[in-house]
Amino acid sequence: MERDASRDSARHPDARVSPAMRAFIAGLRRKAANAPDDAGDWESSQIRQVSRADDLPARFAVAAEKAGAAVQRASIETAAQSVRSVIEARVAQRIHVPPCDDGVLAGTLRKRVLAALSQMPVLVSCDNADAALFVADASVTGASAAIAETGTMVCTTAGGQTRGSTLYAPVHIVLLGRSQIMPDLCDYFDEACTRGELPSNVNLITGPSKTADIEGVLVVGVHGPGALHIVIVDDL
Amino acid sequence: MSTPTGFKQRVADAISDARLVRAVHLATLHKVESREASFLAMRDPEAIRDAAAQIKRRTLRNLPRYLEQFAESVARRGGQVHFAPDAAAARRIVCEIARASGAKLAVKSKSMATEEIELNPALEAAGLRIVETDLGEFIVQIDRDRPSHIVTPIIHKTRQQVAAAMVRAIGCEYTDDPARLTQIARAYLRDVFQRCELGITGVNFGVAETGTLCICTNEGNGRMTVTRPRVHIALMGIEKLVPRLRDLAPMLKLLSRSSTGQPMTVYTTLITGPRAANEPDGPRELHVVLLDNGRSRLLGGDYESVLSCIRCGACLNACPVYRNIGGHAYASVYPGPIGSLVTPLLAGLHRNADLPRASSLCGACQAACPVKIDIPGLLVKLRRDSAAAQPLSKRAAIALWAWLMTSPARYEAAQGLLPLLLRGDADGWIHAAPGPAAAWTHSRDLPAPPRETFRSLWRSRLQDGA
Repeated sequence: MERDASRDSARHPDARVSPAMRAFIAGLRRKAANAPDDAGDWESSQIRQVSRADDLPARFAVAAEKAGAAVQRASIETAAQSVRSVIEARVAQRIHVPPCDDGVLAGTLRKRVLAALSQMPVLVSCDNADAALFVADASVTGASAAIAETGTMVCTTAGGQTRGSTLYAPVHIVLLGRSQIMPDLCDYFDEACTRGELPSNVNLITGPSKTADIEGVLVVGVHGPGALHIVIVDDL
Repeated sequence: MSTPTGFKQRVADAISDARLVRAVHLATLHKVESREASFLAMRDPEAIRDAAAQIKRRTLRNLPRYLEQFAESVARRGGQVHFAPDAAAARRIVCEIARASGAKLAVKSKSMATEEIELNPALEAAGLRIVETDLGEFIVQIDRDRPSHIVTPIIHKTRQQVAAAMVRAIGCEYTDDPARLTQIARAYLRDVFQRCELGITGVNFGVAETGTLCICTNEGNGRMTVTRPRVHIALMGIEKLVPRLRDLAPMLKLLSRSSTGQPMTVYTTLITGPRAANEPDGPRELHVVLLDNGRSRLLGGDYESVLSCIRCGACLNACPVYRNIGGHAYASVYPGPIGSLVTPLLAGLHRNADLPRASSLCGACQAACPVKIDIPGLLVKLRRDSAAAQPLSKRAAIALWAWLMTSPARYEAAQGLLPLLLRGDADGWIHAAPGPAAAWTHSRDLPAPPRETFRSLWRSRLQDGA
């Protein structure tokens, strides 16, 4: 992927809107000058399915399991053991833990998880290089946020996180803080709007990779992870 | 591949293909049930449909403003914005970016817009190898077929046909187990993803406020396509915008529920610019190609709301006509009820005059549409608009019909003539009507016209009563 680094420096000065695009917009504007804007606006309260008053971890777990994820509850004390048991059950040999995380996989929890992994007969890599990412049997990451309504986790490239670590390995294990769970999709977008610049890549992940293209038969693990394990850390 | 036969012939062929009808029936009915269950589970789904319809209406009413905001936002985050007035221009722009990038191997995630502009043959002619990465589209590509549904492209194929195509194209061992077939495709495409240099995607929603592209896939091929290559080209219709990031909430709540009954697509990816300086992976170049291809003509007119479509496929699944003939019979990139509007409106009525008639106007499509497009109403309007394209004899017959039907006296006179023109057999039914009426009795019988009409009965009863 690093074949042509010279392109990188030239990219921003190049970024532009083509003259054809500008001419088209100007033409449309002349044509549509008198179109009335008669559509009203909508309120989050009209479309919200889950509210703060609900049991958010429980709602999250139900929705995520319906989407095909496995959900466990844990504490800071027991989270590393939960990760360990998933890796044992999945017989994963090579484990990828990305070097940085904007969720709960930092500080004490990260140390505990890495310590637990170091006592297992597995190879742990914190390297973001393709070679390391593509051979991993499982990856362990945090998430930026989660949505109870749909059982969705949000994984982004904020702070230089890699896109590949939540995508390539057949098993994805996610540690999620209870306080990271928002009620509804509209709460996530309302908040994301106020957080400043969006990272270049934001993924709302709901269950394992799946397809029903062949005769409508559900198959998991097409291009992304076929197994998604979520550990909700109740005291974070 | 289809042969250039007429619409009626294609429909006749499709209906007589029992295997096809069964496959499409099963798949669409399953989707209808899943969609209905997911809507029933929601609190006030009507409010969400209203919000979504409102968002799209606002977008279309203010399209120049939102297009400008979107283009500036994309450029501000380091993306390049191109404009293609038609399919040929879009192909030219994409091929030019591909040539400048020096790429030889390109991957594509599922995109109806790229089907609309027939991109793959153009890229191949330009010397690139392009690989479809959605499982269904991959099978369509290796089997030299065409997608027959806008969400599930191989709804018309059996697992045995899929297996045969895989054996032929990539030389794997025969298996017709969908899980095994998927694993074989995964391994094959992993290798392609490791080497590809250019990624091409469509766009589900573009956010004007932030210049964000929203791409939804269940398999993760969309994510791979915007992670592995050095250059990402996104092709989107100019109508795909929503004004603000928060407008995605109602749209996303509806898209996958309408499409497959899932509350959310597995991967909803928001792309804002190429990779940042501190990111270890992702494309270094982002090109957004905005496609008009007939869309702007519809702005401000009677058919504007057709541009609200979010391509969920719910109207295809709900349509009794689609369920019985499948997607190929339409011979249109966009099949089904919405396709019968989109294709003639974008590509011209002239070559697609049959499509607005491929509907029983039962209204199931409108009931299923998450953004409340009045599909039956617009189909009727399009039929009226297309009258000029009908043969003279048909137009004359319809004019005569209208002349008869708009005067009680003429109507009654015609009724009196009817028993003379149409005679029943001994059983009181007409099995083979003469002249142009033969088409009616081709597949059903017609009761013979009664000697006494309702009008004459009514008059005699009134006289009796008086």
